[in-house]
Amino acid sequence: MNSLSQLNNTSLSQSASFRDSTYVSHYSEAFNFYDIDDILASELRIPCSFNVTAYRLGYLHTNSKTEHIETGTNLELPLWLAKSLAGRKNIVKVSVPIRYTKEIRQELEADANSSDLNKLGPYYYESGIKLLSFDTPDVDAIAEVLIKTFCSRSRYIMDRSHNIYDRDQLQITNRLDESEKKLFMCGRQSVEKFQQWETQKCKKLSSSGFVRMKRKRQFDDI
Amino acid sequence: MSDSPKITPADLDYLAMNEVIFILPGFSLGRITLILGDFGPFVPSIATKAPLWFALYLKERKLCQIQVPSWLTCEWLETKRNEERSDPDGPLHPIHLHYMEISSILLNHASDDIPQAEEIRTLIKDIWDMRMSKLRRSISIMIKEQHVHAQVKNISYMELFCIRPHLCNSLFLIDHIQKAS
Repeated sequence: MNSLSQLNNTSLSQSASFRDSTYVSHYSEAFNFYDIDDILASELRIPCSFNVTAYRLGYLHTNSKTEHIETGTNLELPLWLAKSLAGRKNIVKVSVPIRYTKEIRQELEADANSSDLNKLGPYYYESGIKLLSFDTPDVDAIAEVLIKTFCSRSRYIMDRSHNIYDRDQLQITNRLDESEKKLFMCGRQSVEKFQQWETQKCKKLSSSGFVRMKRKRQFDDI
Repeated sequence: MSDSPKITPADLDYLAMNEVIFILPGFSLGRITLILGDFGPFVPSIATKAPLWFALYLKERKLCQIQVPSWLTCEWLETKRNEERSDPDGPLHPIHLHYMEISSILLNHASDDIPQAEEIRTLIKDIWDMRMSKLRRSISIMIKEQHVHAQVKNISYMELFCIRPHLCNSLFLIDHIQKAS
């Protein structure tokens, strides 16, 4: 227990120092433990078939009334569970989820800019990356499609984040995957700062919102 | 992915304040020693070197006249604009690395010392727009065709500030996918 809390402390301080360093991305494996996006990305459901009989786990299979999961049963398991079941003792056999099958991949290859990645899965890239650790024959094709899709959508994201002046951002971001949204917001912030500098707004001193709120509360107390 | 860039345009302004320019002092003073080095002696109406922040300090007290740097004249900027315009697909042309900051500072604080200030403002804006569109185009080509390295010369600090978050984070994401496969 003690060692566990120590471990947690070190990873917390590591993630704090990571937040401080400006251009280090969160894509290094070590810091993913507390990352909510990472947790949500590993919720992706993956079609699995059981290689062995799983005793007393029948309740996982909502459609059957049996007590055990029989060999050969097809079941959708979350990615984090499937990973450990498929990896260690080969308990389940994993197949590629619908969103990453050949048809969708061909669609993305044909025209990545017109497809709605948010609809395909809000964590399309992140889940896809996690999928690459499985031992399925499609892995290389999935990696290639992920990279190609991102590369061709990158221009669109950059242009939009640099040229949208106080317009509704939702129209643009609701077609983007979460990683792309972050990328969009990053570019957006730097451009906003530049615009503030251009109009000399950043040189005006203003009281912070926190101070204003605090003063209000004090009046309320009286 | 980083939340926001650490260096802000205001920081770049601060860095640009250390650039040395020529002033025509309206007072006399011996040599002064600053971190940048020794400056002076200051003799009235004789052009002397001084850091930009010092020049602005004197300018505010109406103690000097600022001499516009040679690269901030209409003719020079026009040739620059034509150079950038003549090859929209080519590399960036050499320019002062703090050109946005210094021009904005001088135009805002010493516009009476700058002849044709309005034209200069427009020219700077034109050059900025052209250079940024060049950069954006070359970045998107680089990412799309998955080149492993690119050489960028003559990129100014403000341009770097605007494109860095997008470029770095895009490359991180691509790298992340490649490492996983």
